[in-house]
Amino acid sequence: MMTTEAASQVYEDTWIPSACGMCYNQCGIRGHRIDGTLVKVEGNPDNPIGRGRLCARGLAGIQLLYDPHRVNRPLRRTNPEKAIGGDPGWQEIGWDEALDEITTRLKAVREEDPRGLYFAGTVISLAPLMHALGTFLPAFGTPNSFVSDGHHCGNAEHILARTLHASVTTNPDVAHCSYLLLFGCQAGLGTYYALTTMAQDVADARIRGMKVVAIDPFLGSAAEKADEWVPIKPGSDGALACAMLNLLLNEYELYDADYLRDHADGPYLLTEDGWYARDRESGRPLVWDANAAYARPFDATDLGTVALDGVYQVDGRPCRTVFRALREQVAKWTPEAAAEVTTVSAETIRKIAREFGEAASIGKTIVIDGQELPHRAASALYFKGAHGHDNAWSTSLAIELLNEVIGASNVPGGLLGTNPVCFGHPETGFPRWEPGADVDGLLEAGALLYNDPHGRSPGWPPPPTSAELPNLRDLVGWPITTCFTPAALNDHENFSFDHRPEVLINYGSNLLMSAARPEVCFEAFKDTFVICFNLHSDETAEALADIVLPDTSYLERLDPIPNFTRHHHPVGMGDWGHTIRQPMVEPLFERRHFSEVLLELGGRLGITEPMNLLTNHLYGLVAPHALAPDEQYTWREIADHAYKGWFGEERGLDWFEEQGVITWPKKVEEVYWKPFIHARAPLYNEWVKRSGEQVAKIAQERGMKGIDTEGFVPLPDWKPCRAWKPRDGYDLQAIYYRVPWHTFSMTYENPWLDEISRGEPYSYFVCINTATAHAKGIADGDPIEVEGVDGGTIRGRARLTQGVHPEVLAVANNGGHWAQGMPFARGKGVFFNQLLPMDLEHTDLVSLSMDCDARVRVQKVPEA
Amino acid sequence: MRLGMVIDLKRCIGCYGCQIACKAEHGTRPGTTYARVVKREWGVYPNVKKLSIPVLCMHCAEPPCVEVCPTGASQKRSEDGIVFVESDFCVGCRACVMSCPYGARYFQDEQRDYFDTGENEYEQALYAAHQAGVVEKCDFCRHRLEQGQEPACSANCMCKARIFGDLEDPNSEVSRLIREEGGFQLNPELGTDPSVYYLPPDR
Amino acid sequence: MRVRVKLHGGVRSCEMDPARSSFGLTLRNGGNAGDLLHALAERCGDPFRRALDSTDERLPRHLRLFVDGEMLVTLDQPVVPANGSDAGVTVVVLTPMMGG
Repeated sequence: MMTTEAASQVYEDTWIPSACGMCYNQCGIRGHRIDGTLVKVEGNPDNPIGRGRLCARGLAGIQLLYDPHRVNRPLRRTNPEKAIGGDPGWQEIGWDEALDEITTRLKAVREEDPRGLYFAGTVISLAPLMHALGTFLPAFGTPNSFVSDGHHCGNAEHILARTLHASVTTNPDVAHCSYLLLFGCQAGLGTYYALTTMAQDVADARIRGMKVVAIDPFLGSAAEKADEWVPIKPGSDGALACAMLNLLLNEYELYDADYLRDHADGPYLLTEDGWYARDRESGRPLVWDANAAYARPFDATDLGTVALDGVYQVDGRPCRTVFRALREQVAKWTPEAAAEVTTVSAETIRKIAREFGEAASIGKTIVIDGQELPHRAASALYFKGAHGHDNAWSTSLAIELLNEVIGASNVPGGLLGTNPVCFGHPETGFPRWEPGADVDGLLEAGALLYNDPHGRSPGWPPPPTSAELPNLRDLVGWPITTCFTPAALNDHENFSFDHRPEVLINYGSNLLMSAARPEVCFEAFKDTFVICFNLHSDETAEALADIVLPDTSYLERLDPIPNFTRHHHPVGMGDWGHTIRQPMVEPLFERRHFSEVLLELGGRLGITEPMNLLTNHLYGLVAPHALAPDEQYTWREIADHAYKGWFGEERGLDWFEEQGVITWPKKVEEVYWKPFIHARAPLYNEWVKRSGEQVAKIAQERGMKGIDTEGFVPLPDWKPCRAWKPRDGYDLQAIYYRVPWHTFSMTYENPWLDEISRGEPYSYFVCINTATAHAKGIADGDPIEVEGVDGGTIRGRARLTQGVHPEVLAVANNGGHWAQGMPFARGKGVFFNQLLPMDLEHTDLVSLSMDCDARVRVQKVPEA
Repeated sequence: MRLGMVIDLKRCIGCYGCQIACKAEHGTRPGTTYARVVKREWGVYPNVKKLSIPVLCMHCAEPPCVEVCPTGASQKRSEDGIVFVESDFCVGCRACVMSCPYGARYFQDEQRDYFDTGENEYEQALYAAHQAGVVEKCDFCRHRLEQGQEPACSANCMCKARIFGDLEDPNSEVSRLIREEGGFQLNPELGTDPSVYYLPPDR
Repeated sequence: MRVRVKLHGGVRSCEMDPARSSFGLTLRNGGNAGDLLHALAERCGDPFRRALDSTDERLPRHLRLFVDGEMLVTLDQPVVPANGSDAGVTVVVLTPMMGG
């Protein structure tokens, strides 16, 4: 194909194993390099993450590597006027000059008050992000970090993945599932965790006969493949789930009583004011011993039959079981009541509830690798479509409890945490983590994002203590991601922070576009010294940056643990795969790896010792592979320590550079751990109730306004999200959906992916229901203007489709770039986030999820 | 032997992975997509369906493109039925483009690049194989077949929706699928007898 | 036993003068992590005092204590020099990862 010259002129022809970085999934890839030029990237068949198959984004990564518009040298702003869409007047400078200035500023901040350093990152570059969050920032001494797309992340899902599945994320066990219910997500069918592997597994399962029901306002790629598309009003998924719970528990009596009694807190007794009834001596939660007719600690050794349902007298007061409380809680959600808010007919709600409950095959077992396990062949899964609202916590809880009540949680066929148990490589026992039970008998996750050698991360959730941190870590510290920082800074009088952002390091994120409307982040940091470490001079850099540093792409850098081992790794049986990301070409021009620059900055700032100790903690390194505290290591040396620490002396960096990935088979006790680890899933969230009271108290003490703790509910309920704000004339709800060939806004600069969108009918348009459009005199292709009730106007062209709810406008991802430094992306697609305010009002304080939809009106406008 | 492909419309999610797998394999210029996806929508809300239909050269047993080619550049391999263009013989008359009912042929009229700054390092390496003034098309990745690999699009498909094999071998996976799962050709009435078969989306 | 303490990161501000974020302490021989926390609370107050309020047998999540490079996990873990000598230990105190 490419042998245009004589073959003898080829001096190099090699394949390099590595990891993708075009979205957060970090699939296994290999690259073909000829004479120093990368000519092909494809899936690595040796890697269990993707098994040799890649999505369009991963295949197109080569055009990111060689994008002529990349930033190649450090840039300094010459125009002192910062403005959205302004011209920064970039001037190229050398690395020494850039780092000298940054060092001077950081030294001053650290002496004055280290909290003056702020950090924003992106989940796409997970490994460098974790290196910064785990080592540099705590060693420097600032807690002020946030993920710029954090509000659009899994927030509520991450919390419940932790409490119910001992992980950060979840995926259904489709290999043993026969009914998959998708609430606003597209697992294996569009975009979701472990997409490339899940796509294979979901396709196999569908051929085998697994039924898919997609609940979504837009007929996207999951709904296209679903056996049934159930269009729903945005933000009302929680009402649908509550009605399904009601049907399963109170009408059809389709629930797994054994699971709820023995593996959840179903039998725990609740006092009238909503706390676990506790044993006076031990403080342990009480259950009702039906034989003794007495309330006894759940862990009493000689318990008789434990009552799952009912109300019992404890110390002369009536106490309901958690199970009874849940039944009563959802009783008001009749299918008819839910139909009214969801626009899904009561008949449909009854049908899918019954199908879901029956598919679970409650009571059945399956033998896998010689172990007889419960087989619950139904899963309910959800993501941004369902929980991208200010009722995120309650909505997500309701959907999760669908799995819990049928016992389809952490067992074959059900919803699995993303690999919450790992016994480590057979030869070394590393890395390892596993959940256990806390003093109340409830599930406590193992080590999650870092690799603590002890395999556990106790002390969660952190109690609310104060409201002094703009990322709300001291107030609501349990969500993994948040982007609230800019909104809090803009609201600083309400929060009364005692420090201001002096320096912002913005790594890999385009926060002006990715958080909400750009004015929010611009206002927050316009007086801050901003360092953007990124691939392009993007909207954020051009508006805010004082210095831009040229980052390496994922094809030019070394990351020893690109996915932090378990995240976005496929669930279910199969292989563990521990992958290297390594440069397929040396960094072009003067691009540098963020992690290497942080090591250098650490040395310049005199914080190498704490960084080294924290690195040991992050990677779980113990003697003899731990870093010595006072030595200055290179990034390659650190990678070598990490590999040898985990996989033995003979498997260092050299071994991984050659082999790319180490695999070993998963054990059934790791994958389907629920029957093997006795820890109860908390259906009742006492901690949320307690946290809510503490948050309210702190807000009152500090005189803070707008801290609404009504959403801190221990059991699910539903209320409309605030983005449903009614106002005359604003008659539609704008939502975004995701397509499998774009990642957030970053891939709009990729010409191959742009070519897809230009040939595809919907993704560069604003989709509107045909009948709705006709009523408004809008024809297909018309230029339209969409105005949000909270301000913000976007423009685009109308695409008339039958595949969208009549009250909804649907926009793909988040396009419409305007930066001079991303000329290819400029004007492509629609900038959805312009419609989104970011403030307390539109944020679910339990999960720090944001309303990702907006009440709007639409009108036809003249051709530009 | 007659090489062909089965595309399972039930498995396919319309992700465009095939379009980019092909692009990444061949390094074709802008606008040239040997593999692409057609999207269709029908019905009235809420009873509406969408369907993604991946298309490529159908490698017809009776290829009109070969018939109309005045120079013999467009050929069908006798040993396996692959339809391809011998670029050195192509004079760019585009008769084949007009004759192909499936829109599978791309005339390389101008040397366009993706970025306004000219060819990048990758394009410099890959575009050398693509002559100007000729017609290009899918050739079932002949160069990969020679190395014992299947075409790039089917090797990559993350839904395993593309299956490649010998249509004349009754025991091959493609033959079995066509037989047992209701395989059909696109526009059979045109009489070109395509070697690409589809499996129905609802089954 | 002599203990050399280095405060880093978020706990560095416990000492009003950052230049004094490194100091010496004496701990009884055979002392454990809990004893060390007590000594630190006596000298620096919060956040060490807050840590002592915890009923958990594990060290609180907002502190990371490294003794001669090894992280402590439980309150009853002994504070001993890595090389086994009685020359004393270096304790580095850090706050863990925050935010994201």
